[in-house]
Order: sequence, then C-alpha cells, then structure tokens
Amino acid sequence: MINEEQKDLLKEYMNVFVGKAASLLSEMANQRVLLHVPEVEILSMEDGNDWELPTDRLFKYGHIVSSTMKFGYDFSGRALLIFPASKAKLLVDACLGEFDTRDLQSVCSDLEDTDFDVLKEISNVILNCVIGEFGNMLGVKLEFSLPDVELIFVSEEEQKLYLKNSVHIMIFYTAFTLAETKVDGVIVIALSVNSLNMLISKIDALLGELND
Amino acid sequence: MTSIPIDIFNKLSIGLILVDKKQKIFVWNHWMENKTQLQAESVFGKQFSEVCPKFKELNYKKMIDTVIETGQGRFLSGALHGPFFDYLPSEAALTIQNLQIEQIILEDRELILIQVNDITSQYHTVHQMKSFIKNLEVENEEIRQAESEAREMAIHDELTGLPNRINFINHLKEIVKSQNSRYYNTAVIFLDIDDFKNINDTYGHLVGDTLLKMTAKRLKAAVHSTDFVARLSGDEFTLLLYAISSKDHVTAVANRIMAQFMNPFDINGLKISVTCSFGISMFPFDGTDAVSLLHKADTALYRVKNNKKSGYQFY
Repeated sequence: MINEEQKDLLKEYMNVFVGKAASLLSEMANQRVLLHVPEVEILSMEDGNDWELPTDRLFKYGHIVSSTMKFGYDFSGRALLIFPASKAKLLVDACLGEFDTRDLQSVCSDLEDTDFDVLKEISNVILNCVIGEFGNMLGVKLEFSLPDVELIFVSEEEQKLYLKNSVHIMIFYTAFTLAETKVDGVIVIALSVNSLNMLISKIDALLGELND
Repeated sequence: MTSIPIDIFNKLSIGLILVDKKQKIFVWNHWMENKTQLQAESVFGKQFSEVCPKFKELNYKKMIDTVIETGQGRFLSGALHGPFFDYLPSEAALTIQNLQIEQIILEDRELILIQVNDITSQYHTVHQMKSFIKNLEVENEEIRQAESEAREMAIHDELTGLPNRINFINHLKEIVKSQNSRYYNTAVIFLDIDDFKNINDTYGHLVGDTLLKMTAKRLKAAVHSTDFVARLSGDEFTLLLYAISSKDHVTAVANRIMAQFMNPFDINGLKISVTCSFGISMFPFDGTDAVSLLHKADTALYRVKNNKKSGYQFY
C-alpha cells in the first residue's frame, strides 16, 4: 500500500511537524525536548489480522494520561498524545514552574483537577500544531475538536486494543522526551481510508516534484 | 442577530461570549454579567481585550487570530495563565477561569465563541491541598530530625557527648562477634577518677561536671582517633583500643592516659589535680564475650584501687 520511498518522506514530514510542536512544548515546560525518529505503520482493519504494533515502544501498559482530538472534513482521523501517568505530573509541574528535581525520585501520579486542565492545554497546543501542519501540507481546511483528557489504566492485553479503537487504517507515531524531567510522550495519528489515499496522493506528487 | 437564542445563552451556568472577527463583543450572557458585574449593554461593541486585559498582550491576541485563521480551537488553563477576568473584590481574593475559544459559523458569519468556566473553588482547593502536603512534608522532616536527635541522645552521654553505656556494650558485643581482623586483639580499659566524690563534695557538682567533660577530652587526646571512648556512668569511663600489636603497645597508650592527668585541670581559674586508675582486659585472651571482658577490666581496676595508689593493671 505504501512503499519505502513514500514512507521515508512521510517520516520526514512528521519529523518536521512534531519538531514544531516540540518547540512549543519546550517553551511551555521551559526545557529542551528531544525527538526520536518517527515511525509510520500501516494497519489494515479489513485483514482482521492481529497487528504487530510496537506497543512497548509506544507506551508501557499501566496508567496513562491520554488526550484524544478528532479532526475532520476531507482529511479526518484522530490524534492522540500519550504520557505515562507517573510522569504527567512532572510535565504539569514543569509548565507551572513548580518543577523540583527531587520530584524525579518519586513516582507521583496524583493528578489534581487543575493538572488535567494544564494537560488539556498542552495536548491542545501540540496536537493542533501537528494536525494543522498536515492541513497546510495538503492544502485543506480542517475542523478540530478540543482534546479529551483521560487518566486510564491499560493492561498488557488491552494495550493493542486501546490503539485499535482509535485507528482506522494508518498510524504515524513519534516519541519525544523532555530533557530535564525525563518525561516521555508519544504522538499517534490515525487516519481514515480516504484521508490516507489523499495523503499518499500528495506524497506521490511531492516525490514527483523531487524526481523531476 | 435575532436568530441567536439569547435566552438559552442566559440560562447557561458557564460564561459565554461571542465576538466577531474584529474581536468586538456582541453576546455577553447573564453568567458573565453576574460574575463580572458588567452589564451586557456596557460591553457590547467593545474589544474583547478591554474586558479581558490579558488579551492586549501579543501572544494572547495571536491565539484568537490563530483560531480565526485556522479554525483550530484553543483551550487556556487558568492554572497556567492565572485569572482572565477580575471579579469584584467581594467575590473572592483571586478568581481563576478556564477559557475555551472556538470558531463557529452563524448565519454565514465566522464568529468566535468564548466559553468561560470558573474553576476558582477547584483551584483554591488544589492550592490548599498542595500547601497542606507541603506542610506535612515540613512536619515529616521535623519529626525525622527529632527522631534522629532522639536516637543520638539515646546512645550518647548528654554531659560529655561520648557514647554511653548502652552504646559501649553494643559496640563491644559487635567487636567480639566480628570477623574483622582490625578488632582482633582489642584492649578493654575500665577507668575511674580517684576520689571523684571529694571533688563534688568540695567544689560542687557544677565543677565536678566540668571536670568530667575535660576528662573526656583528655582521654580522647590520649588514644587514636579511631579508638572508642565512652562514659559508663558517674566518673567511670571505658576505652577500646583496636589492633593491638603487643602488650607494650597497650602499656604505651596506658602511660599516655596517665600523662593526661599529670597537669591539673583549670576550671574557671580553679586548679584541681586529680589522678585516675584503670584496669585492662584483652580480647580474645581474657574473654570472648562483652560481659566477661568488661568484668575482667573492672576486676583489674579493683585491684589497683585496693593498692590505694593510682595507676593501671592488666587482668
């Protein structure tokens, strides 16, 4: 469905988009954000096969804070931002200027109401940026929902299922780490079949321009 | 704007503001009126930044512009940004709101919907909880400190600061059990100050206590810094000399201890001359348990005392 050349270009774009989002997060949390190499996976629900998702690289099972945002019209899907719950508090504290290096020693997952508000804003800024960049690339106007933030427990068995529910056919993911707080986060973008086709057409056009 | 269901807006239990693309207000619901004491008529046509001064700042202005340009909704957390609207002072010392800014299309017009959610009570509850936790941490630290001091006090003599009887006995028990070669050949010294009762009776307890403190210092000066000096009770002191190479080695230290008592003690100009006596037992030759080693050192001391002359004896 997608060849290596297309995959590489998608990875490159994803890297640039997440890089822009990371710089916004860096401003909010007042620390460096390190980006990992993005991955592109194509998962067909129609096959009914069990997906070989590298879930252990995405997020560890257990309590996670997951923000989900729907986007729509011509290019539609869902974007997710996932943090381990134990580290989400560190991220909030960093944004509120309450970060203390002693906190690194304790695994604190006691998130208060206002902490969820801060996480909602962080997700809003990051996911808007990444999805907005996809819209710009494709030259389409997108409608965005505000993210829903949930603290959920995902068991080892449910780990794949959790993503499956959010995924239509294609998944891009990328991971990043906040340098000082060692907070790892994952951005996952899931697209519908039509949106995937639109994206592949655009990628082909871009590759054509590059090859000309 | 007749089609805008103003009545519905007014029934909402959150703040609702509608502004046009130029950010001019034309809907300000009852909730906003009640909270800010600003009547709708007084804010109509005003720029949003006039009622919410934070939005005069460039980065906030840009947020609304981005919503207009891209259609991307924006959520602003009060916990992160602080208050957006200054309510009347009687309402609360500090009020905090979350804002949700989204684009809507109404009668073919692109408008900006601003929802205001008051989170003052949650915010204050969270802050109270945070300061409560901080206070608990401070108290916990104080308790830990006090426990640590209490532990130290329980095993040290308050007057001289030396390890006390419990500490000494426990230490000696560890030595006899230890496989560490450093403790093999340890001398146990049991010492008391000759006629100390007379010092107390003649000069008073205050002088007696000062003399004991000075004795502790002199004993420590006579031995190696890694050796062990303790105060058992009253004028009784015990010492442990480690890694003894020969009897001569112990004799040399014993003579240094005696030498410490050659010069009189100067207590506030009062010169007091005292002597000491002590008995010495050797681990493992004289015993392999703490009680018998201490007992044998005490027996040797008793023999010195019976001679009515200061000095020392081996068991």
